[in-house]
Amino acid sequence: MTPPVLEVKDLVKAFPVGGFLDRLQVGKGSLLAPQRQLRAVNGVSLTIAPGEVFALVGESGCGKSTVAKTIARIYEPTSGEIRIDGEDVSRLPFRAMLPVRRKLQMIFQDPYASLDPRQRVRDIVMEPRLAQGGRLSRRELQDEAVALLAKVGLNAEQANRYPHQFSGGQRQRIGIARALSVRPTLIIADEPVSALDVSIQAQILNLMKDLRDEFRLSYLFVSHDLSVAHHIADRIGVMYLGFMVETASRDQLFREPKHPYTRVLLSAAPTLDKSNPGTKIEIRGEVPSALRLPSGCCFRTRCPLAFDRCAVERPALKPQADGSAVACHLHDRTDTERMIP
Amino acid sequence: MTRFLSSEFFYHYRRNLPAIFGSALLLCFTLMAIFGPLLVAQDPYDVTQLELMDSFKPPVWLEGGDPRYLLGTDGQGRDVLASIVYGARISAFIGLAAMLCSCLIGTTLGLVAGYYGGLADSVIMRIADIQLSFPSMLIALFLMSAFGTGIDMVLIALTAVGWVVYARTVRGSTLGEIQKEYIQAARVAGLGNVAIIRKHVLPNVLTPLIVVSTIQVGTFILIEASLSFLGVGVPITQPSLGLLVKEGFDVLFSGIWWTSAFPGLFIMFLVFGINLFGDFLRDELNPRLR
Repeated sequence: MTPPVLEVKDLVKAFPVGGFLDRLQVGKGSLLAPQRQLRAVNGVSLTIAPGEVFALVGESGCGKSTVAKTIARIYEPTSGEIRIDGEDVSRLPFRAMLPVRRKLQMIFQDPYASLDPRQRVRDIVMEPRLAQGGRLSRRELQDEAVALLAKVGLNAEQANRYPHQFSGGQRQRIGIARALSVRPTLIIADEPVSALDVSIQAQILNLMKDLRDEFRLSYLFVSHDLSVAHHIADRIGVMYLGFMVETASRDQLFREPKHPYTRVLLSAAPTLDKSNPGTKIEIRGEVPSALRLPSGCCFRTRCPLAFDRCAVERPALKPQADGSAVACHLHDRTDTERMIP
Repeated sequence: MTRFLSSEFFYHYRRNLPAIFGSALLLCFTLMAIFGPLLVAQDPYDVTQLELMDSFKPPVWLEGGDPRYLLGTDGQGRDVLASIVYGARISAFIGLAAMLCSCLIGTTLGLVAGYYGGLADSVIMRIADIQLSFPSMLIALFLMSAFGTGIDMVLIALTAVGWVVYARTVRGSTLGEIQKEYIQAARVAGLGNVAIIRKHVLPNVLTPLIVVSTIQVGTFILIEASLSFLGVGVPITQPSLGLLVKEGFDVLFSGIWWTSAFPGLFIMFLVFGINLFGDFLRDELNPRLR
């Protein structure tokens, strides 16, 4: 079996919150400045095989983008391992990351903010390539840029334009061309279509699929849109409050969601199928604050099926017989008598 | 050129009367500062060309005026117009040079503060805040009296006063830019901090920089004029416009008004022109004010 392109183990990312003065408190007769942390990602593990598309889904603020950006080392991981082609890169200093970036590139969410408005498209798409070092003549640079743009369906004449002369979909194509410039094996796509019109979304998704086949790419695809994930993903990971609650192959996840949160999430997705409107599962309350995580299971405060053990013990992501993995005590094999009916 | 003439910028310019007036003033003064010495008959700093007999001649349209001295003469028989032409060169040089120096220092500090944040940001911006709590004139005056006079000293004083504006402007714009995803994209591409600042942040904060720079030139010319008027600015051998006003001011109450009034008017129109054009640039280049 070929080694995974990406293997993430117990990734944790916490952001310190507030300046020194904001944190000052009086406690026990002395001034204290406790370090408060926003725990955005709490021990996420995932693997992506060559050529596989892994979608990370979840509602806003569940940490899925943070996972993506931490793997791309836009954020420094607090702890955990990030293995790219077997090599742990989570502690590599900035310069040593350069060769790794040849394998790993990223597509961003907002096509209007992710391209420098003062750069020509030619220079934008060649930026990762040029950052790798080595001199290119003007001619080579132009030719390579044009070849890249052709891959994403833009023409040579557009290479000399500026980003503001393009539509959202075209800009996202430029962003994709930029990611391709170093011929990576893994592309991290952070909500690449959520800022686009629905009609354009399909074009971009299909382009990404075609490019995967052509370059044998793997994607880590972050999305809050289940239908988008269904369209492109081979496997899906569901996140809630910085925890991975379930991973499964796409079909398995949609056919037989196991974690209570996944069920709620799927039932909340709008459907056009009138014959099968699905049963809506309603839950109460708000997502707990990432500043104060609940004890035990992250979802227990809202889970309709929660029981005593959920508040005490944090469920680990455990592999199931069918190849999926669930972090829920109901699916713990030692607790089979409580299996969901 | 044709692209410029059909641009939105030029379209708005053509419809903005103050901007046209301001830039016309500036153009006149620039031409005058460059070619003026060829046109005026006298080099006011060449003592051999001065005629003491011609001292305190009034402007040509008044009784006793001399057609050789259009705006009259001062106590040494110096042609006021010639003095203005030469003085304008010194004033303009000081204004532009101080703008460049403070722009360089202020922009660098602003970029560092905005991009790196943390301690560097706190230290730089607190110094700026402290400095802004004093009138800039007072600081310049203090520096000049402490370290002596001369064009180089004026430049140092103006730079010390002026960098704050740049630092604050650039820091603010930088904070806005580094939030944007293209900075993160550059990081993923593998660019280091210095490369990101140079290739991405700086070009994107350039617009407010241009606006501030225009206005700052006017401010610097004014401060320099004030310093020279108070006697702590440029030396008498290199009189700027402010020093001319001061020299004339000494004899103003003897009824000899032209030696101070004309340099004063000149400063006024120069700064007025700069500000008119600067305001136009600000409105035009700042999308939020559109």
